Formats: sequence, C-alpha cells, structure tokens
Amino acid sequence: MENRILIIEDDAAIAQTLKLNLECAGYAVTSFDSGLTAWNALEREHNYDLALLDMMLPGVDGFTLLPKLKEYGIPVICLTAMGDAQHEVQGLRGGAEDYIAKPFDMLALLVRMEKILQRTGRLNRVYRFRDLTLDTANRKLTRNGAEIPLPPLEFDVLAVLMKNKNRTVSRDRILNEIWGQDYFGDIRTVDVRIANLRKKLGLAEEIRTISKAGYRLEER
Amino acid sequence: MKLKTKLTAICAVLLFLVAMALSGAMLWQIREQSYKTLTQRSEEKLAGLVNAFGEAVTRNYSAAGSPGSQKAVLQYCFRNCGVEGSVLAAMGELLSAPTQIDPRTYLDVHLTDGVQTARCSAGGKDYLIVGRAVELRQMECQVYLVSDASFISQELGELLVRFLLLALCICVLGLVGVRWLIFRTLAPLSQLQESAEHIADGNYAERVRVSSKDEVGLLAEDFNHMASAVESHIQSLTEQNIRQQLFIGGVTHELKTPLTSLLLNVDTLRTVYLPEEKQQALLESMDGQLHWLEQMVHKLLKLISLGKSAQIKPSSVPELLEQVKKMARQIMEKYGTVLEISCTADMLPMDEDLLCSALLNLIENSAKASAPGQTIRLRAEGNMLEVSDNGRGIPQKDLDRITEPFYMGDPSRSKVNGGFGLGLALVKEIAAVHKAVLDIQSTPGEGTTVRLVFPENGNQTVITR
Repeated sequence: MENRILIIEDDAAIAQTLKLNLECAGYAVTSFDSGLTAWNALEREHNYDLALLDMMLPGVDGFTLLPKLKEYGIPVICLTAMGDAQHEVQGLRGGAEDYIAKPFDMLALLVRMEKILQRTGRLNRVYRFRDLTLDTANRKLTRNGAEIPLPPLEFDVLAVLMKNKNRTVSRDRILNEIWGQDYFGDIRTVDVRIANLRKKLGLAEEIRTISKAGYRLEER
Repeated sequence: MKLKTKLTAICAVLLFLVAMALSGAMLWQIREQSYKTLTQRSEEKLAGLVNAFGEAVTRNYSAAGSPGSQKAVLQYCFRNCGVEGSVLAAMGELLSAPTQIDPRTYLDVHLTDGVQTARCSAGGKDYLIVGRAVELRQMECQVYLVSDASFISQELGELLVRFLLLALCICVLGLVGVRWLIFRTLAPLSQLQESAEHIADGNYAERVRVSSKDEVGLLAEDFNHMASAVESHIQSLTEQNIRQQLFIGGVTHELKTPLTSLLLNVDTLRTVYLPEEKQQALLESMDGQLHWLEQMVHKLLKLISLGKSAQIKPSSVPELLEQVKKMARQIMEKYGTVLEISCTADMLPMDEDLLCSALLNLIENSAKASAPGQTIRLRAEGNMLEVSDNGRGIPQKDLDRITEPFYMGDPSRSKVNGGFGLGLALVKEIAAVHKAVLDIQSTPGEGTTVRLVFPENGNQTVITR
C-alpha cells in the first residue's frame, strides 16, 4: 500500500514539481490549487496519510484549512514563503506537524515526511522493486515469495536504495541513513555492499553508479 | 567660558570701576571743600593779623632810626601779635621765627597782588600758605600764615578705606542682582539648548515653550519652525525609506516563488530518473518560469529608469490613440472585449511610447476586470485622457494602495491572469513624469474610470528631461 499524500498549493509549477518528486519516491499524490476546492474535496474524501499545505492561498488560506485537516486526523507539513518565526509559531500552534519555508530542499522535505509518517505509524514499510519485495518491519527480502537472505548491512543499503527509487543517493547519505549523522565511516564500505547486492540480486544494470553523485536504483 | 560667566565678569569689572570713579570724585570734592574752608579761615586770620600788626607798628614806630632798629621794631611788633604759624618777611629777609618751612619758596607776594594762597607738602606734611604784602612806613612787608593741612589727607585716607569697603559692598550686592537678572534673561536660552539636545538625540517632536516677545522669544519661534521642518523632512525620508523597503520586499517575494520552483526543478532533473516526456514537460515549465522572471525584471527596470529616459515633446493625441488602438487589438481578442475610442483633444506634451504603454496597461486592467462582450472606453478630451469600463470594479479598501508596486487586490486572480502587480505602479510613475495627476474612481460591480489629467498650461510648455 502506497502512502497517500495531499498537496494544497496554488503555484502550479511548484505543485507539479512536488507531485513529480513524490510520485518518484513512491507516494500516491493528489493535489489541489485552491483552498476552497480542497475544502470541498475533503468533505467527500479524506483518506490521506499526510498533507503538504501552502499557507498563502487565495480565498480559503492555509490557517483556515489547518483545523479541517486536523479534524480528519491528517498530519500537516506547512509550506510557505512567509519564513518568519511568527507565522511558524502560528502554523505549529494551529496543529501543523512541521513547517518548511520556501525555497526548500526536496531531500529535506522527503526525510521530514518520512519521519512524520513513521511517528504517526502510517509509514509504509514494504517497498517493491519489480519482483523484489522488501519488508523493513520484519527485515525480510523476498523474490516472488521466496526469501533471499542478506547480511544486515547489505539489507540496510538496499532499503535506502528502494526507499529512494529513481532518486540519486550519495554514499554519505546512505551511511547517514544507516548509522546516523555522527558516523564517519569509510565510504568505500558502501561500494563493497553495492557490488555484493548487484551480484546477489542480479541488479547490475538497475543499480546505476552516477559519477560524483552516488547510486540510483532505476526502474525503467 | 559660558555666556553667563562672561556677562557676570564684565558687569563686575564695570561695577567696580564705576564705584571707584564715584569714590574718587567724592574724595576730590571733600578735599577741595576742606581746603576751601581752611583757606577762608586762614584768610580771616591773616586779615586780623595784618591789622593788628599794622596798628602795633604805627604805635611803636619812631621816625628816626637805623634800618637795624626798624627791623627790630617790626620783629617785636610781629611777635607781640602772637599768631601761630605766622611768618614775616621784609626787605628780602625772614624777620619772624622760622616755621617748619619757608613760605617764600612757595609763594611770592607783591603789593599789587592782594591775598595769595598756595599748597605745598614738605617733610611728609601738607601745608596751606596764605600770604599778603603790606606797606608799612614805606616798607614792603610780606606777611604769611602757614597752616598745617595734614589732617585733610589723614581724613581722606580714612574716608578712602571706608569708600573702598562701600564699593566692595556695592560690587557684591550688584553682582548678586546682575547674576539673577542674567539668569532670568538667559533662562529661555537654556531651554532652547535643552530642546536642541533632545532633537539631536532623535526626539524630533520636541518643541521649545518660550512665551517672551524679545529676541530670545523670536529665536525660539524660529527654532520651532526649524524643528518642524526637520521633523517633516525626517518623516518624509522615513516614509520614503519604508516605501522602498516594501518595494524591495515585494521584489524579493515575487522572485522567491519562481526561484523556489526553478531550484526544485533543477534538483529534480539532477537527481531523479525521469522518462523522456516527463523530462521535457519539466523543462518546458522551467522555460515558462524563466520567461516570466525575465519579463518581471524587464518591467522593474522600466519602472526604475522611467524618469531618466523620458522624451517629452508636444505630440498629437489622435495619433497616439490610433497607435494604442492597433496595439490593444491583441488584448481585446484575448479577453473578448470591445474598445471604443473618442477624441476631441489635439496636442499634449508627452512621451508617446510611455503614454502608449500606460494606456495599454489601463486597457488591459479594464479588459481583465470586464466580462467578454463588454465595452471599454478610451476618451481624450482637452488635457485629459480617460479609460473606463463596466467591469467588476475595485473594492474601496484597495483603492488607496492599488498603485503600490506588487499590490494585488486579489493575489490569486492576478496570478491566473499573469500579472505582476506592477501595471498601475508603472502608470503612476508615467503620470508623474508628465506632471499629470492619476485619478482612479471605482464602484464595485459597476466599473472603474481612470483619468490622466495633464497640467492646465500643458499645451504651451515644453518640458524636456
């Protein structure tokens, strides 16, 4: 089951890019370009795991929509150009889980989204890639139902790649995801695990090395 | 040195000098008076002496006799008169007992002269000498009376001490008075100084309260005028500063949204594996955003550099309207509105390009506010250009701010129409360059009328910038 994300953003260009990125990351995305249409649509359908809400909306603005979303139990991340403390406090007091000022970093947004989904127990913990299924809750990798045993480190590296399907992840980021920010390990550890994964799973083509950037698991 | 101290010092010196001069004059007067009295008394005494001496000589004198005996007789008679300080001289000889001084050295008397007086001092003492020549038995005798006048200078000395004390007292009392007077006179100046300090500290609303009508009062009045001028200047500068900050804030805000989107897109293209057609769509959207940015920067540049490039010369209004009509065709087609032009104006001093762009801006605004099929009227009459429509109108609360850069009554609608919120700001700036007045009248639901009113004498004057 994919996580369902609601985007309420009036700037078409930003909404489009957000949608594109989130879909790549494996989310199901619904987006609205005005507060009013979002309000009306929510009355009918409110089965969302997370909402990205722009505060500066014409007509019904973000601060008005916030209680409505809370009512349906949808966690909210505020997106806004008003990056001052007062608005932030107002947004967070209003029940927002997090607050990101524009311009924001896509990767940062994705991480925050994941943390919130994890916190609210809504995070999808099963990732799929072609015939592979990775269950992070039970730490199990299966191919067409048959379990493939993997050493813990290789499992973690694969999990990072599958979580960020189609997105380039740097070696540093992989290390950080596995051991946290404080780890200063040898990044060649990652290269060794990647090589093993390619061999064991037959993903030599799919796990691409992006020069100077990192690795990417590509689904064509 | 402070003005107070200076004035006090000058007054002190003046007071002391005046007191000293007065004392000196009085002392002189007293001295003269004393000498006069003494002279009178001495003269009376001398007259008595001369009489008594004359009688004695007449009584005792025998016709025959040697000059020696004659001398003795004179001496005898004179001594018998027994007046203290009297001196007798005859035939060039001193006949009486000598006093401390020889009066002949100071006073030379002759028969023709009558009574003579002289003052002298010798051996630390002052003397008054009164002398007279008398003829007794064909002999010329000089009779002098020498009186000691030292008491006068002694008295004067005592008086001098008293006068000095008096002068000092006057000085001290005078100074206290003067100081008080100066303090009272200069008090408004201190107030003025205090106020000036307050103003220097940034409290521009500070004013001086001086009620006096003298020079200080006038100065205070002028000072208040100056303070008002400074306050209003500072205020206008502050307002200008705030406007500029708002403008910069507006620019930043307007740039931030497309930049956010562009950054996101570039990041996406860099890190995300995308199918060909999605990549293309993203690039096209980025292209659109970049064009939008470029257009906005272009408009901003125009807004900023407007005043410098304007070429104002008398131009034909009908020609201008003809040009506007041609260029407005596209707008009319886009919004499905009709443009109606009427012109009774002839020539106006203007920059045709700028005015054309202003009118097109107004026409586009009207077209955006109108429903398809509605009419937009462009009218030129005398020194006035007018664009009016029957569109949705502008709410009262927006009217005052609508010419501010980046101000949009309803941000979402302007975005949909592709506006920047710069159009009316541009029109206002163009009006200002032409010294024309921009007048916006609007009733929500009924329509908007925008007028550019040129100055009355505009037909004659040619302004070149």
